[in-house]
Amino acid sequence: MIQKLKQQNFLVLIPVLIMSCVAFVLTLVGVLLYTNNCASEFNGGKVSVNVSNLGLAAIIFAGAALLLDLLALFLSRSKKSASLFALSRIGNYGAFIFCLGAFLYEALDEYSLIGTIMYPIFSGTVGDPVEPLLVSSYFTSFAFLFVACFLSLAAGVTMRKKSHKIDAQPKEANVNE
Amino acid sequence: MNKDSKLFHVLKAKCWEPLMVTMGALFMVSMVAKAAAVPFANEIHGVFGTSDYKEETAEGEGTVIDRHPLKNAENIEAYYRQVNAEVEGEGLVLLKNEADALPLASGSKVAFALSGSGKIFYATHGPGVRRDGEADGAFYDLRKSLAEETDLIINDATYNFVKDGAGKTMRGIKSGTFVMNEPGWNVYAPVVNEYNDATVIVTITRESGEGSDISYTGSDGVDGSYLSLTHNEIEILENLALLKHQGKVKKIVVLINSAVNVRCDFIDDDRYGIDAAMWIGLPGATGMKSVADALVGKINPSGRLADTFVKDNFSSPAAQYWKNNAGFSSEYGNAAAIGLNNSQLYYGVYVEGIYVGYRYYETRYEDVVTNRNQVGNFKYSDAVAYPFGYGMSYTDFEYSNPRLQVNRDGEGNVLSYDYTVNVKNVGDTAGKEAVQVYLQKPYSRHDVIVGIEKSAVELAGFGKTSLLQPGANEDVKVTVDFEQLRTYDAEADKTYILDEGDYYLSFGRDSHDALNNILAAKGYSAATDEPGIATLANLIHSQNEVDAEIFSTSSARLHDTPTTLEKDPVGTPITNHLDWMDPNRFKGVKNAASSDGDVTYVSRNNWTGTMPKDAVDLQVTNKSPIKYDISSHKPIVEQEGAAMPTFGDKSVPMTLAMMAGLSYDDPKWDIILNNLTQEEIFNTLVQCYGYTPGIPSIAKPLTDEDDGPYGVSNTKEGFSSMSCEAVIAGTFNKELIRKVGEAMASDARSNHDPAQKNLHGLYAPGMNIHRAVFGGRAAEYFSEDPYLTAIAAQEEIIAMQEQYVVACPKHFIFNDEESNRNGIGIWMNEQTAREIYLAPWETALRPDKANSHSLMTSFNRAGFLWTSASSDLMEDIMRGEWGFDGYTLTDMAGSNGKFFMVYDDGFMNGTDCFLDKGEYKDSMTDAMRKSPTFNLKQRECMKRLLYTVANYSGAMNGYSNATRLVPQVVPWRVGIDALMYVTGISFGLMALIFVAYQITKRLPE
Repeated sequence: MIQKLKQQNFLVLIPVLIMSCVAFVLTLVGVLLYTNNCASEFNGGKVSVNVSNLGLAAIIFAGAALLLDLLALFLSRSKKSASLFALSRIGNYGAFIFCLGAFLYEALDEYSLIGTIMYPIFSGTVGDPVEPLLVSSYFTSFAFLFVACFLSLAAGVTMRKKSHKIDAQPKEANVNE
Repeated sequence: MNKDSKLFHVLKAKCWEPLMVTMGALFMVSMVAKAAAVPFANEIHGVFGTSDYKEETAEGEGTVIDRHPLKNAENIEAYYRQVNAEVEGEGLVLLKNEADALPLASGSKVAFALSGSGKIFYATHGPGVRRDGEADGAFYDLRKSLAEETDLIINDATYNFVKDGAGKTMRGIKSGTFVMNEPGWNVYAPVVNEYNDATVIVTITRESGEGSDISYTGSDGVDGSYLSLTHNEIEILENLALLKHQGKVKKIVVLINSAVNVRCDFIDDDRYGIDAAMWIGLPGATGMKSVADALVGKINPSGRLADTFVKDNFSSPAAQYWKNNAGFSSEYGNAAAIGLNNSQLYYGVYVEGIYVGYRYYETRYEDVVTNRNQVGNFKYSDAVAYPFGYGMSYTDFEYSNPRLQVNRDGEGNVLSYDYTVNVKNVGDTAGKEAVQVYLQKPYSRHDVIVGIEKSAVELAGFGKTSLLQPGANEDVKVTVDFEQLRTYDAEADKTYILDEGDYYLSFGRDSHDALNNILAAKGYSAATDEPGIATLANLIHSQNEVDAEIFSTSSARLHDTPTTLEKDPVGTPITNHLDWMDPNRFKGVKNAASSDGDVTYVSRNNWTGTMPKDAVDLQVTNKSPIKYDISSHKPIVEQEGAAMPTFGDKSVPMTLAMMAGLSYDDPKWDIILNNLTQEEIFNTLVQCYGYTPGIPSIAKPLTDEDDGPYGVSNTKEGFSSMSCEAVIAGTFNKELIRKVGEAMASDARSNHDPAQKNLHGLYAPGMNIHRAVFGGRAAEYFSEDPYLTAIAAQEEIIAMQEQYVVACPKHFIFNDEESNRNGIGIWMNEQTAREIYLAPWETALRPDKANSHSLMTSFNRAGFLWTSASSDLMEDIMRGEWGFDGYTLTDMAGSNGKFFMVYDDGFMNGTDCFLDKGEYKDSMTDAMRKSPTFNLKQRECMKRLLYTVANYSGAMNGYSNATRLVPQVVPWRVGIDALMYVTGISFGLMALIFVAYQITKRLPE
């Protein structure tokens, strides 16, 4: 019984850990790419405060979730502690919401840049040149935040399922022994 | 808490957690939606057909302003299509017609070659006009036009072959370069026999558009440029010529479908056997119908070239500059060393000076004829295929009885010259003739000494006959203002002068013909390449010595009233204002490629020594005074005695309708301006993103505007694509050009499109100069010639504004190329700036001429300054010398110019409105907020905007003194707010439940 629970726990935690880890890295890299490389003539040399702040919040939440997931993997020895560590999903949810905000603001506050990049595609002409580093940084950041959003949510939802399973277990079960 | 309690079970319910996350996400989305609703409010209003306020007018109070559209609003689509076809019919240019190959006889068989025949390029990339509407029948392609307009027998096999078959177009963009990718002759095998007994229509198409110049190198044209024939095009022409030689093909007719000159060295080349050629420009939605009509003679071509068509597109000095400098824009040599940002990196130098287009070719030709020193090895016929103003007809016209009348004022001063000629149709087909008058100003010894340049001829006037039946004749009178005799002397007298020497006017079929007539009158007949007719030229004025007084003061009035024109009794002195954009006079840059640091401008005094041979290597020397340096956000300098204006004083409430009809200097303007808060003023001026915002407190309506150099943009029906501007100018028909403005304005004010109904302003016409043939946006500009540009713009502007659509010509100024347009610094001398580039704008803006009420500035810089942040251009010249009192609007400042298209620099130097989505609380800095001078400047900006709307905008239609703008509930705004509050509160609640449950479940039983 205990062995089965341990296996189940491991099977749940590892994917969650991976998702949380990837989401954290993507959020971190996405925000860094934006803040470091996307100050341009399209935003007057200043990146969006909304994106930076929301991005920072997302990083903190994603980091917290990741930390708790790691702790859960190595330290949860009882139903009680497992249940407590399963709250890492709060971090995932927070990361999801803030990441979503950062993503949306990155589109809104950089509409000039997007317009200039997309213009040649819709007009059929060459268009105004935009620095390749700026384009690649922006779209990479954009894509990373988008993916991180859903990975955070997926990690949170998975963790929530685990939480329900833990709640359904008998009181005395030691899941990691 | 008892874990068996109901409450615990409620808390334990599985739904709260997902609901919490969902609400959190929706809360975030609604926050962003709320934020988006600030800059994009007008766009969202457009989608939902809503407004933040509604107009309410108490009945029976005050006079109601009547500014209904005046003309053609009932059936605008039919009218528009008709004008499009009419313009194309009079603007297309018959270049060659050997042995009367055209018009095609009734019942002739026509076949097609080259992919362009199957895929016409109707309208340029860039403006929002529809560029293609074949599928739904809105646009007329070549086949449909021929089928509907003619009884020619159309070979569908060849048409389908070039439209959808192996011969179809593969033109496009490859690695940022325009390429044709024309299929070769090898794929034509299946259709070769279809050409038997047919006239083959060969359409050579070239695209161009906004944001980039036409590829001058790296393309698949034989000289590496996009504007020369590709090897496959040549191969196809050669094989068609072979078929013709074998007696299979009857005739070869070439259509050139391009806004600008396709290298024209092939049309008369025997290898290609071309019988007839016609330049059709970009024909718009219905222009191809007229092309079909012209092919069969239902229309007799009467268009004239608005540009010189040359045999080598690199032969002009401007194009030579491109070649030498690896393109139009170069990086300042020391850009990296001194840390210039993206918007400061690039420059372009107009080394050709005034010798743009035909001014170069004709002037050098005259100097060859008159054997001037240092003229070098130049043969006109090797360089020019078709001169400026050239165009053939299916009939012949004879000019006779030229008469000159000098018009004087009461004191005997010359005001203008009426030059009249009788034009007779001596052929056997009815037709129209474009009568052109060219002016020759003397190139004097004074000019040589001082450094003034003169073109051998310049277009000074034109007219067009009515449709003359065979044998009929008509007098055509062309009036030339005495003012056109002026020359700008930037070197000695620093003002306009009447130069010493002889002045000639001449009629001419084109620029070259006119010059030959003048040369004949001057006694050089023996040396000219074609015999001139001396009697068509006339010595109109001789000046013994330079008169530096006569044109040194502007007489344009300071401000107009809506009904009168008041001349300025004193006048504004005209003097140098642009020394800082001449590298040779401005110490902030040097040409590192020359020993003395100077740029060499082309001079007719030494053609061989001054034609561009080497690259210019401008370097920033950083010695420029702060006013002219390259930095943005220059310190706001307080004017002496400036006091903070009054804001928000509602003690005398006023509405804008009360100001209609009042002069600009009326004291009531101060009262209405006092009504406004600082925030209202700032937000209005920085949120002109395709409109000028409404101001409920003074009942200023929102004025809706859109792009439209040659057609109203973003309409759904897709009929508003007019022929390109070079075709419009090429009609040389002022009445017809006026109809274009009328059609565009009617379209703008009609309600044909719910999303764009009733526009009150159009960003039109485009008025930059076809400086070099590679300029990407040439389709949106009229010509290489400033006079033709000026008159074409004038006619459009007058017609638009008659219907209360405020014209907003663009782009002021020096935006003649597209490469790195965002911040590129343009350098030239002041004579060039004034005579070539500013001259059309003077006509467009002067209240005694076109009187445009608005204009759009450009992305580029003049020298180091963003054009819109140059008080010399925006205030001293535009308002001081020309008397312009409309409002100025930037180009897309909110798009890609935020490093340099900045509010403080713009407002302090004559910019009134920003095409942007700024916001008072974020964008108005403390320095701006607290500066009396800055706020006084903004108050003046607001006054100019309000003055224009009050007196000239159709948005005031139906308004009276009693009209109020009453705030109203906007459903989508309520929806966003509701979503935000509901989701925010729900999220908070769910979070509480979640926390409560987590705590409760961990509590001991």
